[in-house]
Amino acid sequence: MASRRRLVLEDEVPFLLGRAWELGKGQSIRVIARHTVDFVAFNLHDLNERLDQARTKTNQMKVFLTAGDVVYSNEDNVLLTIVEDAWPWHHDMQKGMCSRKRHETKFQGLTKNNTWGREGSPSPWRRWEDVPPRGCWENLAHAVEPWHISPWDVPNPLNLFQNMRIDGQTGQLWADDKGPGAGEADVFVEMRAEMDLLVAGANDLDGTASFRIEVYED
Amino acid sequence: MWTQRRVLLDRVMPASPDGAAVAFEVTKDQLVRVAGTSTAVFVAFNRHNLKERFDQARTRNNQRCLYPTRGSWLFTKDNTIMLAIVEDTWGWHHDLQTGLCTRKTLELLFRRAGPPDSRGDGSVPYAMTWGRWEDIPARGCRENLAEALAPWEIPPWEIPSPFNIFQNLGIDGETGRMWFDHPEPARESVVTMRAEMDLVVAVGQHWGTTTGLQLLEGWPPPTVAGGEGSAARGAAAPRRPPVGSPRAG
Repeated sequence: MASRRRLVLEDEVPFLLGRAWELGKGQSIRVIARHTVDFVAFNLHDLNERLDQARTKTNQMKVFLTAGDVVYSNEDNVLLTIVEDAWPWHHDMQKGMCSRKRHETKFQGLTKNNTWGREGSPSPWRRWEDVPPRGCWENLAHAVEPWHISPWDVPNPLNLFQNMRIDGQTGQLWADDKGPGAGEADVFVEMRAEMDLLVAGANDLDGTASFRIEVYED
Repeated sequence: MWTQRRVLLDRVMPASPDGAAVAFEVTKDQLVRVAGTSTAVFVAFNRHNLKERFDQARTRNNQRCLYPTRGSWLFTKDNTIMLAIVEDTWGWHHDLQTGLCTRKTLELLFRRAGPPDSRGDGSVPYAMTWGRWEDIPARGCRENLAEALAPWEIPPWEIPSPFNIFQNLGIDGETGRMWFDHPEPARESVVTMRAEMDLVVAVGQHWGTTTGLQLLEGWPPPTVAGGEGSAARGAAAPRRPPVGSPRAG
């Protein structure tokens, strides 16, 4: 099988940008990164059908996905199967997409940023000038705009390589992205499209490296 | 002590085999009160921009908390506060993980679950007592909410994943496993939310369950014994986990 596999598309997405690609059923996409990539997917032939965090968790009764798990849509259809996962920690389906407004409220202390190993709710930026101009929501919305998808309809993503710590008793949630070796080398996740899809990815802000994608066909 | 309190809406959704839902408009500062003993599926929309909807992920992440209670806010995708929870007498957790069930979901659950007396492991929601295919409810929450929201022309795919009031979901933070852990309380609990903007709100209930709804005007909200919610109760005695769960002894 490995000898029949062809690379049909590669792309590199710079920091603070997003990009979208069409996948045919059966193609696989490998997302290669060293920091969080916010990843969304739509049924290419009915863009109202989209990745759904809640249905993905409920249909598998788990909050963390890895190889062997699937990604569901809001219509309870399987969009993707995770076929390989080289990330040693958890991917996230608790968070949404960051945005300029979220950055501002975080900076002001109006919304929380609890981070494992640090006191309280630290702002990532000391000065207003350092607050990034946009976040994953703007970047993903811009990436899918050619398909006429409203920003309001970009679903909450599968946040790849974003390790969050959950306390199941209290419900507390912390960012915990400084695991040993995290961010120092590329890791990847490979997913197989189970229908024709529009997928999109955007770099989150926990690093400044770009991320790459490779699309394979058997 | 209420001042100028008016009850604008006061109804009970009676139990029905296919579940039910209602939708209504709420004006800023009005109070929505939901009473029951089992899951009340709650969604909200900005009345002046129906694309701006209640968002589970923003509600979780902006407060770094999976279990809303008194003192929590419900957020939109744009990080705007829709509602503030001002009263919560439920002794367990509410849920922000699970989505809207549909007829299709119920069929999948029936096939996966097996006979009714085998369903104690928490993998399927409580009250799944259907023994036969014919007993599966005709509609899930999404169909019921879509019917209730039809006057506002909100199609089913635009209904957000809900705030699942009175749904106690266990989560293992290490393994990530989720399980339904319904306590079957003897008495009704109440969650009251204050609208922070003009809204369209919809509330749904499952087969065989009943929910009370009130829309109130006036301030302050009543002080109710135990209304401080699960957070103030702190580390309450953990419920005995269902048989077969990772925490069972």
